[in-house]
Amino acid sequence: MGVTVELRDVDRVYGEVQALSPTTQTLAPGTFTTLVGPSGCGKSTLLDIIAGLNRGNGGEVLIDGTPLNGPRGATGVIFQEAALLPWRSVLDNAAFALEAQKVPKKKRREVAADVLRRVGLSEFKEHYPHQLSGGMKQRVAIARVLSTEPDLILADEPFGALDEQTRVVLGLELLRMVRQTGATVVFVTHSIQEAVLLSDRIMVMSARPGRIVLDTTVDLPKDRDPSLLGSAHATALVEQIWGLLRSEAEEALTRQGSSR
Amino acid sequence: MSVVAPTLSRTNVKAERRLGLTPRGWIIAGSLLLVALLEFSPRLGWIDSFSLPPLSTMLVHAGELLVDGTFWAEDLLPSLTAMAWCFVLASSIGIATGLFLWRFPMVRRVFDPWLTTYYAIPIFALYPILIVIAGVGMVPIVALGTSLAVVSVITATMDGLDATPRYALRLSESLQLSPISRTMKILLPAAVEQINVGLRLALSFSIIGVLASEFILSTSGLGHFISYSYDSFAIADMYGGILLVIALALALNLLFGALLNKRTRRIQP
Repeated sequence: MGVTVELRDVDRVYGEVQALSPTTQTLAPGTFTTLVGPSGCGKSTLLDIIAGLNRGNGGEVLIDGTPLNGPRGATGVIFQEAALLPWRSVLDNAAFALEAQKVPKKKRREVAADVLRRVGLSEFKEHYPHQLSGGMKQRVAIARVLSTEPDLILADEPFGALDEQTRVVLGLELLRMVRQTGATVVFVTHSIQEAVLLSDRIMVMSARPGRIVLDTTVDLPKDRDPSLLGSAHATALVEQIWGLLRSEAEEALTRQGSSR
Repeated sequence: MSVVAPTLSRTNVKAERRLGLTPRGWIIAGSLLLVALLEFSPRLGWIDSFSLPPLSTMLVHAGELLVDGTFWAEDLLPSLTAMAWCFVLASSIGIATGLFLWRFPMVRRVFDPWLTTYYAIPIFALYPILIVIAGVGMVPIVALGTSLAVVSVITATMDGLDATPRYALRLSESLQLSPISRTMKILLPAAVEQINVGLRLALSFSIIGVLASEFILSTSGLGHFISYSYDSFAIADMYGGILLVIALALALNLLFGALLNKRTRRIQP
C-alpha cells in the first residue's frame, strides 16, 4: 500500500535564489499527484527533496509520519534519462535495485524477469541498453523501480524525451501498474495533457520562487484512456492550467531578460 | 530469439583504390618494401653487412635464441617477469590512486601539477638513486618501470571517473549503494573504457621501462642481452634480440587489445 507524504514548510535556496518557497502539502496514500510548471520552477527540486536526494533548507518531510533523513529503500525514483547502466544487460539493469538491496542473485533475476514481462520486455532480457529504443529504455527503468515493490514512486519527467504517442502509452502503462501496487506517486511533467490524463491531483507551480498556485483534483474515472481527454472536465482543466502556465512562462521569460 | 539485435557487421563497401591499390594493399606493399630493403641492401653491398646483416640472418639468430635454454632462463624470463610486475603494480596502484584522488578533489588539486608535469621529468635520471636505495637487481628495475607506467593509469582513471554520467551517480545515491558497491558497480564500470586506454599505455611503459633499465645496468634480461651483444660485437645476436623485443611488444599489445575489445564490443553500439 502507498504511504502518506507530508511536506511541512519545505523550502530550498540556492545561493541567493529562492528555488522553492516554503511549501506545506499532504499527499494521500495511493494517489497519483502531478507537479506541472515552467522550467526552473523548483518542481524537480521538490521531487528530489521528497526522494531524500536533496535536503531542503527548512521544514521537514514526513513519510507515514516518520521524518525523512535521506534516500529510503521503499522509494522508487524514475529519472528523466532512463538511467540504465550501459554495461549491464536489460535483465541485470532491471535487477539492479534488488541487487543494491542485497537480494540473492537467483531471486532477484526471477523478480526482474517477472517485472520485465509485465512491461512487455521479456524477449529483450539479454539485450543491452544501446539496442533499445527510448521508450523501451524507460520501460526497463520502470521495471527496475517496480521490482522493489515501492510504496512511493517519484518520476521526474520520465517520458520527456519521447514522442507524444509513446509518452501517452507509457504513461497509461505506468498508471495501470502503480494502481495495482497501490503506491503513492509524485510525477513531474511539462505536458499539461499528460498531467490531466494520468493524475488524481495536479499542482501547478509558479516560476521562481517556486510555489503552488493551483491545487486541483481530476474528476475522471479511475480507468484512464486517451479518449477521456475529450471530456468537458478534462478540456476545461487543460484550459485552466494552460492559462496559468502561459502567464507564468511569460513572467519567467521577462525576468530572465531583465536580469541580463 | 525473435528480435534481431543490431549486428556489428563490417561494412561491405569496397575500399577506394589509390594508384591501383587499396589502403590495405599499400600497407602490405610498404611492409614488403621494408623487408626487401633490410634483406637486400646488405646483400647488394649498399650497407656494410657487418653493421646491418640481412634480415634473414637476423631472423635465423632470433630463432636460435628462442630455442636456447640459457637465453630463456637468463634473459627472456627475467625481463617478462619484471614487465609483469611493473604492469600489475602500476595498474593496481594507478587505479586505486585515481579513485582516491577523484573522491577527494582537494587532494587532487594539490597533486594535479605533479601529475600533469610528470612525463616531462626524465625518470631514468633517478636510476642511480634507486640503485643506492635498492641495489642492483629486479627491485630497482621494477620500481623504475612501475613509476614510469603508473601515472598514465592514474590520469586515465580520473578522466574516466570524471565522465561518469550524472544519472548513474544519482541512481547510486537513490539506491543507497555503499561506497564499495558504488565503486565496483557504478564508478569502475563507467570508467573502464578510459582505464583501458591507461592500461595499454602502462603496458608499453612497463616494457620500455624494464628494457631501458636493463640496458643501463643489469646483469640479466633482454635489455642487458642486447647491450652486451652490442658491446661484444655480436651484431647478429644484437639484431636477433632487437627483433625479439619488437615481436614481444607487438604480441603483448595485440593480445591485450584483443582481450579488451572482446569485452567492449558487447556493450557499445
